[in-house]
Amino acid sequence: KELKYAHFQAADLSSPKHAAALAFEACVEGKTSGSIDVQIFPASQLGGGSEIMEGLQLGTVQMAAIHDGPISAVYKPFSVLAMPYLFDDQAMAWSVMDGEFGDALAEDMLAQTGIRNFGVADNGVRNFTNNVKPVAEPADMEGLKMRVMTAPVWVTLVESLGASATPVPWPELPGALQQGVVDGQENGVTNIVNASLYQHQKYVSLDGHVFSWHAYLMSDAFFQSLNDDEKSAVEQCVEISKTIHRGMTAAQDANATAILSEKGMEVVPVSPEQKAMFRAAAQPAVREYIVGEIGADWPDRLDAAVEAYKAQ
Amino acid sequence: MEKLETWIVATNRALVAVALAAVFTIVFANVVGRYGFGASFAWVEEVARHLMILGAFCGAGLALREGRLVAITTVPDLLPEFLARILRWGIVIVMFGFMATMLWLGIQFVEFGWDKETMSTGISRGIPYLAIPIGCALFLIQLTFFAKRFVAQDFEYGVSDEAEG
Amino acid sequence: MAKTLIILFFATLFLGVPVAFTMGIAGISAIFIDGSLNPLVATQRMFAGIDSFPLMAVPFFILASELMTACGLTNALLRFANALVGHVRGGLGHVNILVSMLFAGISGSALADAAGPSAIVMRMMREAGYEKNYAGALSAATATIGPIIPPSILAVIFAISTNGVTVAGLFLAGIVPGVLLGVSLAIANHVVSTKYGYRGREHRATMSELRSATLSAIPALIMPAIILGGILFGVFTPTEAGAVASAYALFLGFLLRAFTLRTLYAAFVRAAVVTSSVFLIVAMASIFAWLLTYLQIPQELAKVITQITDSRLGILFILAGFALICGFFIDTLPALIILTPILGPIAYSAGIDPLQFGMMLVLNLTIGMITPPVGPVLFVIATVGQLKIEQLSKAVLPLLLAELIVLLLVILVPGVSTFIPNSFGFAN
Ligand code: NA
Ligand code: NA
Repeated sequence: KELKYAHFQAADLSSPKHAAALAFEACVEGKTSGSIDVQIFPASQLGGGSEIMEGLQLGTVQMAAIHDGPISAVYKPFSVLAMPYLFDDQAMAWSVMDGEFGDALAEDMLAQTGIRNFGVADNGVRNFTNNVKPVAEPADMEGLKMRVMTAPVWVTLVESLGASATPVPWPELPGALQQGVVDGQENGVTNIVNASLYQHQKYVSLDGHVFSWHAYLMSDAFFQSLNDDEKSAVEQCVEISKTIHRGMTAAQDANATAILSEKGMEVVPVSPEQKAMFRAAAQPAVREYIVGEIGADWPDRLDAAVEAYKAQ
Repeated sequence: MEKLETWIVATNRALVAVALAAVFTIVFANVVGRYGFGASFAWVEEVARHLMILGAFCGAGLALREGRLVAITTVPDLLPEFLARILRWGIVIVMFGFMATMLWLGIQFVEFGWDKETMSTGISRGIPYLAIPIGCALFLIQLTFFAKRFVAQDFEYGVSDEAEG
Repeated sequence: MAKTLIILFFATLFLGVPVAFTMGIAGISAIFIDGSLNPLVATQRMFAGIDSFPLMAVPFFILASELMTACGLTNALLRFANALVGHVRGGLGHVNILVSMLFAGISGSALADAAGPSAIVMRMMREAGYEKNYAGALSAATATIGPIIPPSILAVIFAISTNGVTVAGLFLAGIVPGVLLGVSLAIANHVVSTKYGYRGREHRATMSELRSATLSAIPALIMPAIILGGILFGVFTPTEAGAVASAYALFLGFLLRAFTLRTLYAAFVRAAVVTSSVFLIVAMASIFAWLLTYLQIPQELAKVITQITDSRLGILFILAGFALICGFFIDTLPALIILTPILGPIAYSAGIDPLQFGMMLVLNLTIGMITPPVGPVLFVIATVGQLKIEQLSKAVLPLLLAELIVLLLVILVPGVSTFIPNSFGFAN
């Protein structure tokens, strides 16, 4: 059986998605003695995020590691994960996503879309960068022109913090920063380094507002066509992939200060008190927006999962 | 019949010109807005793209009429005229069959996209996908009217060529 | 499935089916005959292939050059070029080259140049006693500068189908090769003119003639400054630059009272229909190219090529040769869309800079526009000038050689393509 596996990062070993995909290929082909033939299509070769989401439903692609934006466009409740300043650290985020909450979200997604979600890794936690001034608390955001992704929830986030938001598509971001179309942007360490965003951004604030989630998705029709051994091989191998992917980005996040200062950026630490100020400014506005889009059920469940973790 | 054809062509032209003019206006206004008023909008990029796609598919029939659908005519040119005509009728039938298939698939694709959302405006993705069936249907109408003249290679010059003399 | 796809493509291509449809027909037939792929992937690719904001630079640059032509500014450029170089040996030939370089700063396509300024200078050259096939050949050759000097439709198409290459970066990459093309053609024209005794105008332009020609050309010369300057100094993206250029041409037209409502409407209709014919090819080619990728044909080809050689230069030469051959038989735009995803990954994994590879491919396939059997620019010139393709093709040979030397430079010296974009921060 052919398993076409799409992802969106460059075909080299330093890309977490590609490293994870190669591990998946070796693992599945080994465990099934080649009854599943994994073909990896890196670097958007088979299309962008939206097309691959459609492809999983059309059956033209069997598996993909996809970022949250295109997932939310097909399965709306996924956008609950855009809630800012929710998780204190990666351990907490993963515990919530690997636990009951993540399972319930995946189950609902499967029922609504026919796409199976094996769980998420992340592309790192997103931080604000800019070229004008050090930003340590919401008041510092005043007057900054920030690039956001082209979806309204990000406009809400940035504007709730007092900056003005300019939506710019990802491919045009490096140009927009270089040319000063915008003063700043927000991304994880991986993207800041790989897309050389640091070249035109002096300050980075480690505020960690949201995680960039990358979900491991498979067409359920394909999954159901596998025999039990193959199914369990796929499930086990995805776990390995996720672990590799998480490990690589976690290492970058843990060393964010060192990596980014070495690239010449001034790293502005954000204390827990300051992060609480960010949370107080942004969360109510974004929550209101998300509830307006998908109702209060998923936001409430997410809050409950976070509270449960904190109570442990 | 001839009146109907003239009307269809005029409407089709107006449609593609308005689509391009609208795209031009919003993209330019967004630049002015960004510099003049510090405001820019998330929806501009997406709306512009989707309008342009609509214009592009809807212009296919006009491109056919104006002989702008480039082809390699070395082989037909080598044939005696009556064989070349038969070949061109064959091409007409193939184009018709292909675009009819795309119309049929396009309708299914609209249905498929209906419950999904676009990334920035959040409208149903089926709406921009309508460009495919609409464009294919328009092309089929244009081809039906123009088939004979296509076979005779009697292309029509665009409204602009007339104006230039 | 791969066989059906490729056989049907070539069969329909050579039977004279419009190129846009050949790729769609081959694609959808292969999908149906094979039966394992959902056919909706064809509609999906058709849509996704043109669903790109950077691609929208194409309609805007077409619109801008339509509006500029409607303003009558092409003639102003011609007068300017004539005043500058009309008097040297082979003067009108050099005017032909210079006006194409200037026009290239406004227009993104070779066909627009061939049908516009190049055709006009061709007539002037013939009246001045240049052999008619040489006049035609030079006009065809100079028209290929259009898509090399920015803006360029082909550069946009390459950039949108390549990760990590921006439209702005590839625009900048075209400056040096574009100027080299002009210089190289000027040398060829000088040699030919010496041999056949083509002279320049009797006298050099007087200062006052030069001044008046320059003044009338300034509005047209501002256009490339807006486009390039706007992109370079960070005012807007290439797509927005296209919109601003169109707005400028519109403004100029109203200022010069060059438009009636009718001509204005006509310019929009024409730009829309030309856009449509380009986008249709891009949309259909994206079905075809997707299937090739899906069937892993590029990967197979890469294996074959890397078995022959693993040197960077060797691979670049093989890819260039392959593209050159494709350029003889397939029209430039579809060839570019098909080859970019196939050859690109091979080049990048061999360590070739995507900007250099992009420039090589664009220049290579553009040169294919003046080679028979499929040479669209040659066809336009032959039609406008009522020339025989065979004789025109023969006359174009020395000029083709001049262009191939530039291609060789682009292959051998990466800096020719990468120096300017790199110094403005466009690097990989
Ligand atoms: Na140009
Ligand atoms: Na010329």
